[in-house]
Amino acid sequence: MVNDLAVIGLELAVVFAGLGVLLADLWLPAARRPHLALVTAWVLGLILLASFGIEAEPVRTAFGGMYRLDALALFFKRFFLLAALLVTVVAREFREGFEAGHAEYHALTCFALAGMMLAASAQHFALLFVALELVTVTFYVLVSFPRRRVTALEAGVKYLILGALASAFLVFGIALVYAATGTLAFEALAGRLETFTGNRLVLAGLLLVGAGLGFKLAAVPFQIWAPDVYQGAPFPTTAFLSVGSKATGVVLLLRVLFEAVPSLTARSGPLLSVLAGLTMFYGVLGAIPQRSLRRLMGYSSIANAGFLLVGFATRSTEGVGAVLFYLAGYVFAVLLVFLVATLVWRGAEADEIATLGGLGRRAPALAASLTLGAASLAGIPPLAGFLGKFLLIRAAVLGGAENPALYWLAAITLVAAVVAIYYYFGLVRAVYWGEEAGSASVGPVSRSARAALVACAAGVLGLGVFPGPVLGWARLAARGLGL
Amino acid sequence: MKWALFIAVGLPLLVGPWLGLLGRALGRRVGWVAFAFPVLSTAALLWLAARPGPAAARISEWPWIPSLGIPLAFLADGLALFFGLIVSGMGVLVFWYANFYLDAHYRHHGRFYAYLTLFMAAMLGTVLANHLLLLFVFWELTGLASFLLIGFLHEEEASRVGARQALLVTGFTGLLLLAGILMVRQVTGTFALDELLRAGLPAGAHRGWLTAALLLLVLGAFGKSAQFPFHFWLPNAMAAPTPVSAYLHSATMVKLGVFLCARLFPLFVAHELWAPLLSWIGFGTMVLGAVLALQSHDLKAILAFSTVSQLGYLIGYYGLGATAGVEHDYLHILNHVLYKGGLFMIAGVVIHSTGLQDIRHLGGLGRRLPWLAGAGAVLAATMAGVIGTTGFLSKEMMLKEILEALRPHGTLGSYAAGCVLVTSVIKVAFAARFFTNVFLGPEPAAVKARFHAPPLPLQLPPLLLAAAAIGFGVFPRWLDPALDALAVPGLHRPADHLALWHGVTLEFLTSLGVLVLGAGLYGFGQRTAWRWARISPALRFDAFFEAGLGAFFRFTRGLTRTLQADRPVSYLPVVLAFALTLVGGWTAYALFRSGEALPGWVSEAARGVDWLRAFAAGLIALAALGVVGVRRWTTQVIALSVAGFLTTFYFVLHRAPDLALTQILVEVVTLILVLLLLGRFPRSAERGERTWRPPPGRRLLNGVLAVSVGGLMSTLVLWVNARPAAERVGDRLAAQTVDLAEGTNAVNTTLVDFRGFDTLGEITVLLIATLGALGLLMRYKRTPEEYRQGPLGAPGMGVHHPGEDRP
Repeated sequence: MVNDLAVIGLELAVVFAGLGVLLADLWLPAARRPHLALVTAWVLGLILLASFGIEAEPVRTAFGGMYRLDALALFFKRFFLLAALLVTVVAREFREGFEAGHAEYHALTCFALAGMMLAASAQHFALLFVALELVTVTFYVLVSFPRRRVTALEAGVKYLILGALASAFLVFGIALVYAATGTLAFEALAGRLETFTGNRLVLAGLLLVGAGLGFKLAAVPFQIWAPDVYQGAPFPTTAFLSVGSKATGVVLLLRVLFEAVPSLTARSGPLLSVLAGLTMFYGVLGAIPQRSLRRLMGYSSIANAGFLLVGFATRSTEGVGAVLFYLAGYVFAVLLVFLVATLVWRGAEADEIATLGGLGRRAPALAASLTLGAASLAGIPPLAGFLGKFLLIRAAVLGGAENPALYWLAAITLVAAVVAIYYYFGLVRAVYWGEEAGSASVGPVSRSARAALVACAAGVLGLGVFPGPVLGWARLAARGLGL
Repeated sequence: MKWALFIAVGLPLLVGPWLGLLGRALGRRVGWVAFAFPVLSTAALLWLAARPGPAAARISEWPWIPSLGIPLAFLADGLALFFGLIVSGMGVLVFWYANFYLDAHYRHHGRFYAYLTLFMAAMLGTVLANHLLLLFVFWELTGLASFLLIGFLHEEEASRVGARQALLVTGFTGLLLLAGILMVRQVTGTFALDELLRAGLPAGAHRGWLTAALLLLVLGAFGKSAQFPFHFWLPNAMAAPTPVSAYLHSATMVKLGVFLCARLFPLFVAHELWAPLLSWIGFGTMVLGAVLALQSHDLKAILAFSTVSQLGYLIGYYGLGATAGVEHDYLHILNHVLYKGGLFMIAGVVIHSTGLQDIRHLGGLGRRLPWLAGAGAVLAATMAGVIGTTGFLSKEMMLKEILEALRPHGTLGSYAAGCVLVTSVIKVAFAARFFTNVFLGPEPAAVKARFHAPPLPLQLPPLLLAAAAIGFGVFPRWLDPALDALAVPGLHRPADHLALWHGVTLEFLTSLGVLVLGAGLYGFGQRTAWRWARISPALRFDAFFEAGLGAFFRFTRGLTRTLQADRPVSYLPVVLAFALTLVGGWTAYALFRSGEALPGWVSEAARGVDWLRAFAAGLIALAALGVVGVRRWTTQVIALSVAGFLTTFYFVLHRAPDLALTQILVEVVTLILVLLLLGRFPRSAERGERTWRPPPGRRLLNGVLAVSVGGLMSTLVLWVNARPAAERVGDRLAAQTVDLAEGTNAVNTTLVDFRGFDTLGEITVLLIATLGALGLLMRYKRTPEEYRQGPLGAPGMGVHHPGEDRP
């Protein structure tokens, strides 16, 4: 038991950080409460640092094999910690948008983070469900956090309805899997599937589980909530949704597809490829006419889910490694965009892209940061986003030798990547060439925001130019799946 | 060697971007700092070129991404060094020229030189790259730098449109290039150019792959070199400041497509598509560009279209090349760089000193700018191919090679010869027009009014280029050793030595004929004052492109409107329908395949039915129907909780007391919370309440969907029940109650022994939930006075609607 607690030390630390923030909020005088954001960020940063002291080898498990601390889990835990750290900085800049309860926001971020980190280690459908619900329920609150804004409430209600539906699918699917095989543990399930090849009930259950995870990932056909909810939610929540929540779906899907039911995944035919293609095209085509930044990012998030699914469809270590690397580049680029957007609009409700006009003159540094983020998302070399897309396409081409359908997927991905350039380009065009939107100057940029901007920009550039170390981790993590 | 490469490529790449910051401190003078970069690069490349050594010694590598096997590998062979020297050498002249061209009227000098230096570094990287992916990265980087430079004067609409077209076209074709590179890698297993050149491409089974790769690579080259149908972006890119046009859009960047063709030549020349693909498009573009140049009136547009034409020739030239290699490609390229770069700079001086760009409004500048007029005469003569210039040599060789190609290539050869002849005639005409209509004739009033003398150093680079054109034209021998030294095996075969006078040959006579015909065309144009010269709308490909973009935008907007939904009532059907199709379809298929039958399960399930349980289940179903059927939300809440409590009862009937307990607690708490919240809803929300009744068709669809989902779930449950039960945990616990927990009541031992921690957790959760609910209730306790005012809503629950004033 004590050993188990030691294994989940990172999660415990995050939960205690969240509780600590809540308690500190009670006792601190009102004037000093805003500092809690920085404290949270520091604590998360320290936990992130501490995570590098943990060795992935030998693999450790806890709670009777329900929880597994391997390279894949560690990769995602660091990813989530980084994302939450940056989101906390964004939330601090967004504080004018919240009327009260800053500390609650940071605490909820920590709790969602704990759920994500647990999900990264899930080896059992029960843990998968609990971790996912911890994330989802927390997000219901985070989405509608500015509770006087009718847009945020609307987004919250929509997320609640679809999230509940997804949970229902998921839990029913899990029940079917259990009914068919008598186990919920991934390893045992993988072992039993070999003797259960004729069992079609498992597949029906797994399709439902896949639907539940598809909601998290915002993949077609469960993508429909994303633009609405993204547009209504406050900026930091939107950022966290598009990075953290999506990555939770990714890691769980990885675990389920390649650890729980590898033999079924190997026989899934073109299902993943078709979903990847549809998702990419829905995202990129939908994003083009958008005028609201968050809605644009919503569609972009769908498109990125499609790109990530390309890696899944290859069913290879290369592909999964590419997915992980893509995510690492994605977190920096998305946070860069949201950080700049928050600094420009400062918790206001508006987010029309046209109002970014003239930012290049008003705040050249912010404009350059936004350009860097958009360019990386668009996949312009030599930024991280380009290398991520390149790795995905490369994995598809390499996989094409065995499965020629993947050549088509690679070609489709290339076309989608080209179309994606177009709408990010619209963002950059607004920043530099747009009509001057009022003379409202951008307020001073705090030191923490500046540090986050520099870190994100360095991440976007560094991952593109010196991808070696991160790519090494990604591949190490992917190899653990034993593809 | 590594150091020289670092100075040539690495230094401008790494240090160049900082010029943007330096520009703030130095202002205009930052240009002289930037001037150091091309000078250093040229020196380093000259040092590399002077170094003898076998090809293998010309590769340098730095590790970059070892895990993917992508090094920073450079190959400094003759071809790379030739193009590299053109880039850096023109760079010296252009940076010099820009220092005088971009005067105090311009802003952001630092940014301009940062872009320009970045561009030069990217160009050098592209031509020197040995790894194909590295080549691609630098290739796209040149496109990015070009985009930034074209858009430099972004206040002007034309700049923005031109920059966008250039980025979209070259960016898109660049990605095609990437696809082609990946295909080559797939076939050969290597990205390294030197290995490819050494081993060649495999034949046989990979034919289809190689054809696709060739198509993609060549499309990449066509996009960058502005070949039909991508030719339209180049003239619109002329919105950039003139030094940029001279550098990027005539001398260097647009030559990248030509460079790529030269690089691929040894690999693909034997492919049956190589010659037709390159020649048909290349020579066709050549004629098209020349015609468009003749029909244009803008100084820079004339030069831009003539560049398109010349690039078409160069690409077609590689297409017609013999398998053994080509001879005079360097001469043609060098000749074009000399006269086109020079003419652009002259156009720049004219624009700088008069502010006029339309050739119809210019004239008589020869008296004011005699030196420039001299250079203009030489360079225009070079463009026309008058004897004594490099242009003559180039045209002489061009005709000779074309006439030689007539025989082996049949139709294609005749087509190419025809194209070359027509183009040469037209070229003579617009070259003559360019010179005479700018420098000779009467001086229009507008010129007189606006003219201000340009600084002499601004005129120096075109003078130098003109001197080179005439020097090498008269003494071609000077060129020979350099060009021979840079020749590359595989691409080049030993060439005849160049000479000014080859005797009265067929080529010479043709050349004379071309000059005469061209002069005739020019005379006709002058007499009619070029009134007929207008680009017909059918050739306005840029307009087609813009229209296409607009149509694409409208298409996506329509598509998004169709596919998006912003109310849960409208998107839930989509989600449910898909889940039904996927899961239901699979279930139906699986049932069909396995031959198991639903009726059998139903009857089997009905056999052991317990009537009390069935009664409870029926009541639950009734309550659920009630939730759907009744109108008022209060009744709905009651119906819902009835269903919940009946479920509890159902659990009791199944002898699951712990489940029943949990369920009843959850039901009670939920009901209390819901009633509490609803009771505190503000009045405005109640007033705004309205019921939306969907149209009958929609309600039918909703009903069908709901019933189908229910049916699917029921089927799945029946399916589960029909299977032999898996090992049940409960049986094991019951069996071991006495042995392990030493108790006889299985429920007790399960709760406190086997699942002690679970129970502890549950109790904790209940405690926390109670505390939370209490906290909420106590915090929002209202005074009796507030109660008398009716339901006001809890403090902090007031929702702010946009457009409504805050209280």
